[in-house]
Amino acid sequence: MKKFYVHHNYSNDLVWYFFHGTDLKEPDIPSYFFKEQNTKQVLETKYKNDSIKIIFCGDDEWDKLDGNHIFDIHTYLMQEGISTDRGYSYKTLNYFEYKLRDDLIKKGRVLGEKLNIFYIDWEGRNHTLPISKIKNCKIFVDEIVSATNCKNHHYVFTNNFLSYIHDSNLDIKHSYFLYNYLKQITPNHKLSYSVRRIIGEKIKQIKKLLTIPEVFITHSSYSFTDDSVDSNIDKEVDEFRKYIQAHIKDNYINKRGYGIHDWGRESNINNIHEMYYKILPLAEVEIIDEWMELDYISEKSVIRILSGKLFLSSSFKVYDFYNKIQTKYNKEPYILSFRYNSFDELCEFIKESIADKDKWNYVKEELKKWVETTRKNLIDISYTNNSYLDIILNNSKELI
Amino acid sequence: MEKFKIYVHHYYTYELFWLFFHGLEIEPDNVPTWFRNYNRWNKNIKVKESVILNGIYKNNKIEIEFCNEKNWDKTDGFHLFDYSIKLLEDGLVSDRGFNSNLMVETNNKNLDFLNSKAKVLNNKIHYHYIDWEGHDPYIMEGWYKRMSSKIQFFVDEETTSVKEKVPNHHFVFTNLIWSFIYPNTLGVRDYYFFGDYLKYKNDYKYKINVPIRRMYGDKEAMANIVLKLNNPTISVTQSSFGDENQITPDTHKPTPYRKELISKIPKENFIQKRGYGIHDWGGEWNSNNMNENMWKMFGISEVCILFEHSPTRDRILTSRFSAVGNNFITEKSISHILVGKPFIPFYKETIDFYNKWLTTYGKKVIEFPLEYDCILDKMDYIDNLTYDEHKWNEFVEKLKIYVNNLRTQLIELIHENNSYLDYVISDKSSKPLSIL
Repeated sequence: MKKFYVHHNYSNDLVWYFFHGTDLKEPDIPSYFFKEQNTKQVLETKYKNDSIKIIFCGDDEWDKLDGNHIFDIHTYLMQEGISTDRGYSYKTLNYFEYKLRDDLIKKGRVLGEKLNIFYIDWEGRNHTLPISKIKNCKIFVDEIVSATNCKNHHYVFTNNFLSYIHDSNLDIKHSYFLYNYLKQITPNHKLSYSVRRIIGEKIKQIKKLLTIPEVFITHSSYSFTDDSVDSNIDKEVDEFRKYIQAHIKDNYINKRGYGIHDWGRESNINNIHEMYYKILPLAEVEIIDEWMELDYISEKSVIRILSGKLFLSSSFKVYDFYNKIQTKYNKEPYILSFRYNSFDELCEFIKESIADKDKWNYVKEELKKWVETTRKNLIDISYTNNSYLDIILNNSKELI
Repeated sequence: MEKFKIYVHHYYTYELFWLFFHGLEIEPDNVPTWFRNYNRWNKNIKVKESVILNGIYKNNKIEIEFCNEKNWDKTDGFHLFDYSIKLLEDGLVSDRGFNSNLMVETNNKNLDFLNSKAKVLNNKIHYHYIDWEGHDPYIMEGWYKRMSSKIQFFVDEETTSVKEKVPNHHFVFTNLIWSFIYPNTLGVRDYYFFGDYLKYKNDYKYKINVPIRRMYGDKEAMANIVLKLNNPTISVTQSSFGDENQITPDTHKPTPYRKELISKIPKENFIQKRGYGIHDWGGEWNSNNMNENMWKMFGISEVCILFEHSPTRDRILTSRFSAVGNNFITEKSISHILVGKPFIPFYKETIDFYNKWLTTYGKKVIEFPLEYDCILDKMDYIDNLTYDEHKWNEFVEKLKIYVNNLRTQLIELIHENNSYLDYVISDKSSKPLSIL
């Protein structure tokens, strides 16, 4: 029997996140009310004929050499109250780099490949520098293709996908249930494109989309422009104010309002709620920026897929990625009948389609078939497989 | 223009500002949300510095200082302390929902603390105790014996059983309503925006549903009536209730009728909180129950019959009648109002309560389209109504108009008024006049 020591406090959601696809059913996974019941828990089950023992043990049992030791950096920070959610935060990066990393490297010296660190940060390869310095253990990440200096990194699709649903603290699970309501609404616009944080690429795209009158472009309030992460976007913000803002000034989504209309600060959860209640209902089809160039998926595509929202991604690679995942796990993806290789081509495609009612309806039908098929297949895949366990127990390579 | 100062003995958050000081004339941008050295990257990190805000309320200048534990020695203003917010700040609870496990210990601790301060501050201490329950803390928690009569308390019971003897009792309607959404620990504020989705829903399986989770009071009688009606358009749902001991370990005994009911309703009408994977809503936390409410309950029927309490009825049913306070509303009606969902409360007293407060604040009231006292006595009428499509649709339309008016008027009322500040600026002789 293979043992897994999970170095976090127990919760039913963490069982789904780490050990989905096993024979565990909900009655085997307690959901306790009192805090003291949620520290340690032992579960036994099977994954594809392998018996496994799961030991949620918090900070204990690090000396045990008879099993794998799971430590998820974001889960740890959320449980310790250091960060509020899995979304990007300087706090997370800095805490990991300066307070956790050395200790994990020390643990790796003893445990070697039995130390299994999860670093699923919903960001691309350019954010892997802090974790790339840990070399002596296995690291499970959400970069589909790792950097060349990260040989010990393993992409784990099902854990990545379910991190949004079971261990995000961002209500992303709700988008799956929003599906039942989103499909019934009658949007006011054919197409929408929403921006919040202004970066150069988005400015270029807005300029192109402004030439298509049917695209409703919104601009959401964003108050962190003096932040170090945005230290170099002053030029873009100026450009936005000078050339774009006037065109879309009536479409400004202000997070701050009076009383019940005050969405508060720029926290990830508020941005997600703004997306649910202000952005998703706007149009029949939404243009989203899912940058696949850095080989990762974000909440942008995950939420649209879970909620059944029709979307056109700025990068067509998004569809290719999800299709390949479905094929890898023996599901049949829906292949879109159209393709575009750049944002310019996307704009041309939109202009051509939207001008003709039948063509536009056809595009919507195609997108609907894709999102419905993908939604169903990804849920099926994620609860009948486990990319992490496939790697540990079956030496699988999560390559697509 | 008079000036009033209020020291709030909690850590500043913009949500607490709206809870306590809605109705104030202030630009939202002047209500800060984050501070560089504290909660910029983590909203749960406490802002330890004092935060001062100024605004105008009904031609009075109001200065608010969130100062947490500091400034208890200041005599130039009122001192606000909230029972539930203190529990939240101490990490003892996750939301305002009532927690009987903490009641006695916390009550004693708070009273000892506030009584000691009252010796210096006299009637400048304002103790907020909004627990969304009908129990009268003045009796139930022994305030009549233990609380300094100088302390002004602000509660969600309109009166206590001994009102004439309690001049320091203040019912705060607007603060009660806003306590459900600020701080938004249970996602109740989201219901308001979810209403923009729900209004498009038109494929309900039933005309009426009676949702039941914890079985007590008249719910059993109601479920029985629904079963006997055998009307395919009227349903009762029973939600899973995993651990009865989570709620009231001292008093609550599960009824055997629960199992019988589950065996008699369609399988899909037993709403399971636990499910496989993405369908697993987890334990019986208040937030999970509210998520279940939003994502599972609103799509079942056109109209819901909601079990909101009637103090009159509660006094008949309980042997501790003096402990029952005049409290009429919970998250049940609030969530339905915010989302704009047509509902019929068990007792007409709930409707009367909302109408009374709309009227008090000069807001438009629309007649509720059903005459009744207790819905149990009206189910034959409802039953007949569902068989006449024309009359039923007319009834539902009127219910929609009623709830949408209530929704609009309530929000307006709270954006313009503040029951607590109305007390602060009032010229009652029981409190100091201008203090600055």
